[in-house]
Amino acid sequence: MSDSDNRAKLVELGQSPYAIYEYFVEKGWTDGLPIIPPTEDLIVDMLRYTDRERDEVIADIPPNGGAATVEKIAINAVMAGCRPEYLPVIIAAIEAVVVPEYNLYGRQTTTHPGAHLVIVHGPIRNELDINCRQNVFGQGWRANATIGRAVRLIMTNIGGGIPGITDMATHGHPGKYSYCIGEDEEGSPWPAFHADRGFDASTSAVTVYCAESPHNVNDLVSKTPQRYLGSAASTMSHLGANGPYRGLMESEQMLVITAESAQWLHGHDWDKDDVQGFLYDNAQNRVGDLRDRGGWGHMPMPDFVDMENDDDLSPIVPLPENILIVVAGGHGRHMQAVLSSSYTMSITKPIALKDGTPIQSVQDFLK
Amino acid sequence: MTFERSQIPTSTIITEAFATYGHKLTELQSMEKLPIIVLPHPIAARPEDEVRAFAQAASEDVINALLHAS
Repeated sequence: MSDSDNRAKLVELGQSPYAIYEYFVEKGWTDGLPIIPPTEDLIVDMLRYTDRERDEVIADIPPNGGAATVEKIAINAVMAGCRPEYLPVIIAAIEAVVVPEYNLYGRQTTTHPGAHLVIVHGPIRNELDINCRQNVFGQGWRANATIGRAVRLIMTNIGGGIPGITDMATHGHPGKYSYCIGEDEEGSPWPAFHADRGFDASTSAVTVYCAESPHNVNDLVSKTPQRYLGSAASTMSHLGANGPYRGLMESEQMLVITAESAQWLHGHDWDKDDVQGFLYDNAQNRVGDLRDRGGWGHMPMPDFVDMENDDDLSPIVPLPENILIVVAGGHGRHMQAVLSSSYTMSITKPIALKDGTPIQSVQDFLK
Repeated sequence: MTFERSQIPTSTIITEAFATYGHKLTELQSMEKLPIIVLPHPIAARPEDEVRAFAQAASEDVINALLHAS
């Protein structure tokens, strides 16, 4: 698709960085933080890292249906502080969020605190220096900080997700500024997340998952996988979460564990599907504890749950494979429950040339 | 809005805290004429008899929205 009417307009501003920032704030084009002015030379420099036309529309972003052209994606990426070579990751993320199962319209406008977590897989993590380990959800890595921020700016500036007007999040969360991690594939004893979804491990890919803020699970003491993951199951199924009341819906919930923990579990002969199965079986609640609170009655419970029996148990997702396991983080026993609203499914897309061929390196775009 | 576009009679009911949001979305979708019935806010934790009273008061508008295309 292309639409020359979608071309961005050139605005002449002065040389003062502060005045330019004020102008962008006044226009509602920032997340509140300063931006890099998207000058023509910076945009052209970034566009070297795509083989698509400048005015090609990658997606229409709800709620206002704004056309996310390659140019406008690049503009927002420049504003976010991205290096030019991050552009292919952001384009793949935008292709992913508009897949219908992701339910972007609902996620952009809901009261629920969901942010677009971008998880980067494959060799591109190392090429772009995307943090997969210590402080993985935190500050300090340019690639993580600016890729996640670029996606948010696109949601606001192109999609029209304006806080308090169309973005009706009751509280939101800090990940709505930026939310991007890499998977620690080198540290993990298990197949990479995107490999589980049918991609070659050597393919670089992006997963988007609309999620609440990470909720820490700190278990320093447990000596068995059952005890350790039991702590995670408890956090994933807390009574204020969405999952316990929406176990019938096609939905997912995520646990992020470190390579250390994954290796320890693997040493006990636990594979990823064992972890998923255990969490599915144990992240469950008594009907009597769910009754008349939280999201009770908004959605039907699974058919196999006896709603009249207070002691019957209800799961947080329909199937064990709907428990997503991602290996990331540094040293220590902490885990992160990264929960969703249940009204969304994660989507994985390869980072590819326009013809669909997965790239080997971002340098492929310069050939 | 999707239902209305599909010619399924629809009555859109929101609370006043979401009125700006509702009108903005109809504007973005070029459906400014879609009737939006606005109830007081908040509503979730009110006693049932109060909620029923709100519903009763809005019933005529709901019927009109269902019977007349926007």
